[in-house]
Amino acid sequence: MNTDWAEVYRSSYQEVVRFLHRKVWDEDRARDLAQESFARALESDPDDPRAWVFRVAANLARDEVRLVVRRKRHLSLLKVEASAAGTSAPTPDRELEQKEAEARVREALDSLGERDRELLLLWDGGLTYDEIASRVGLARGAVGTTLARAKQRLVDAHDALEDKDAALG
Amino acid sequence: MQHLDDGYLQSWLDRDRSGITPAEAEDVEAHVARCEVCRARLAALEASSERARSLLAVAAPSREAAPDFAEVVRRARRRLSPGRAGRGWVAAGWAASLVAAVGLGWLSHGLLGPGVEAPPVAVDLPAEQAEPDREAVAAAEFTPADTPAMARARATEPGDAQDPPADTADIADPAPGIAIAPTTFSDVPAVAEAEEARPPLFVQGRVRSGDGTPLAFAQVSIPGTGIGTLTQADGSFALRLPTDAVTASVDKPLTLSARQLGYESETLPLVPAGGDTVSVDFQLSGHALALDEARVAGAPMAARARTARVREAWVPADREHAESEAGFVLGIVPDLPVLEIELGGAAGAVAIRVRQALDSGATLTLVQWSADGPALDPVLPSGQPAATARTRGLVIAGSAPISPDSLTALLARVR
Repeated sequence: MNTDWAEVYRSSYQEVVRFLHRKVWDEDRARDLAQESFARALESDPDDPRAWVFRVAANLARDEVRLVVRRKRHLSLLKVEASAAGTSAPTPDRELEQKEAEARVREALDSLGERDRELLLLWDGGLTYDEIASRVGLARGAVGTTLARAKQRLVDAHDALEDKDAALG
Repeated sequence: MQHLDDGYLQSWLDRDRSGITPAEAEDVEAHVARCEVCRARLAALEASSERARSLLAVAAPSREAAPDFAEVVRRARRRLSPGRAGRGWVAAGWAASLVAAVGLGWLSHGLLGPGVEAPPVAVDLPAEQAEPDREAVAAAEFTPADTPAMARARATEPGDAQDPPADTADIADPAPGIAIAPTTFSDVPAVAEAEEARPPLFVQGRVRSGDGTPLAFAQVSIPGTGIGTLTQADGSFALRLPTDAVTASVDKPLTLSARQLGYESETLPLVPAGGDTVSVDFQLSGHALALDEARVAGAPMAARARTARVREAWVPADREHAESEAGFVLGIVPDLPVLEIELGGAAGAVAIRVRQALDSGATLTLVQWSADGPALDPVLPSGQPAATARTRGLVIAGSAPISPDSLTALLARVR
């Protein structure tokens, strides 16, 4: 009964946005979902408020991703039309590079197993091993090993993509 | 020489949050100092940690300042507006606690003292058990909404058919007791229904004590899925397992567990038998230690409040502030540096947690509260000796990675 949600919000907001962004890949949506996560979390008084918020965020992101996948089927047609009409704005080189780098990381993350990905994002979000363990359903003792492996997989997957891109010129 | 495994080394790298004890950390350091293989392995792990971190940072959004917290509170209020969640007593409880909290800057309830109503226990499931979203919240409200899902569950009713008659004789009408989380995904397009190849699974049953008495407010959950609910007055429960969880269960078998204060928890396999409804009945045996307390109370909520668990949401405070909030003078071990003072509380009582540095570099954790108030479970760091002492009207629970005797001696020095 003593959760100081304002404090949890202040100290974890950025991490939650970061976490959500890697799931929905849209900054504005990530911020909006982060707010929504906290708004929903306020309704509870969990033992571990920060882990709880991440949990709510993960659920919202899951629903969101499903929704987006369904919408994409409709939108892909519209997108083709738009680019054919030349309406997309020209992108400066640096921005393009950043976009490519982000796309590679995204692809590398997507190539990982669901649990590895979740583990990495929660680790990056600053959660403790206990919190991570309860989120992904591992024993705490297994978190370190799984994490070490997942990180290596991410790095390897990314480097392989980079090599491929370089080869393609 | 036996080498350290990657998991252990990784825990050391993340030692601020991996839960590795100071003694274990020292082991790692001592080993790495003399083992070249592990030293190299540690360096490699550290390098891949750095790489992973920087890669993830590439995909990070820009660090825009967080919108004001008041905006979050407004959102939460909108969620509570009539028509959305304004029907049950749970919602009323939230609304009351929201108003109270907003008015006072959303301070924690425990710190506000006994004048503030605590939100109802129904939404107070442990984090690993409850699904903090609409579905579970709806389930916790016990609203016997007659949704299509409900109608389907009723149509099958294998649970009732299998129940031993003796046990159900005192239950007049089991059907209204079954609460199924209504599926109100109003923001999901209608296509959603058509695209769900595997139908959701309904899980229902009853939780009883060893002598057959129905247990109300028992927590029933599917570990690892975040799906859970509380039982009704007649001990019945019903859960809806969404499509994706059903699909995932092909790879990883699911279990269902039931817990109730004063009883041994029980976990049973959840085996879909082909139909869309599974029945699982629990019979929990009494817990030797807590049985009397739980029985006497009759209502589990009252029993819970008797030994309130100090929640793991501590607020850093300076000594003066902590003492004025708690109403007692903080006890510390003289001559040991104070690392941190925090305020926490439960059931209207305030506790102070203080961490002091021991000569060895290890940390002594002391949680203290007034002996006049309700008993508190201090939730000390696990995996290390703990002891409790009483001095000047305070209960002081301490924990440190040292021998129990040394710990007791330290606690005796608290002034």
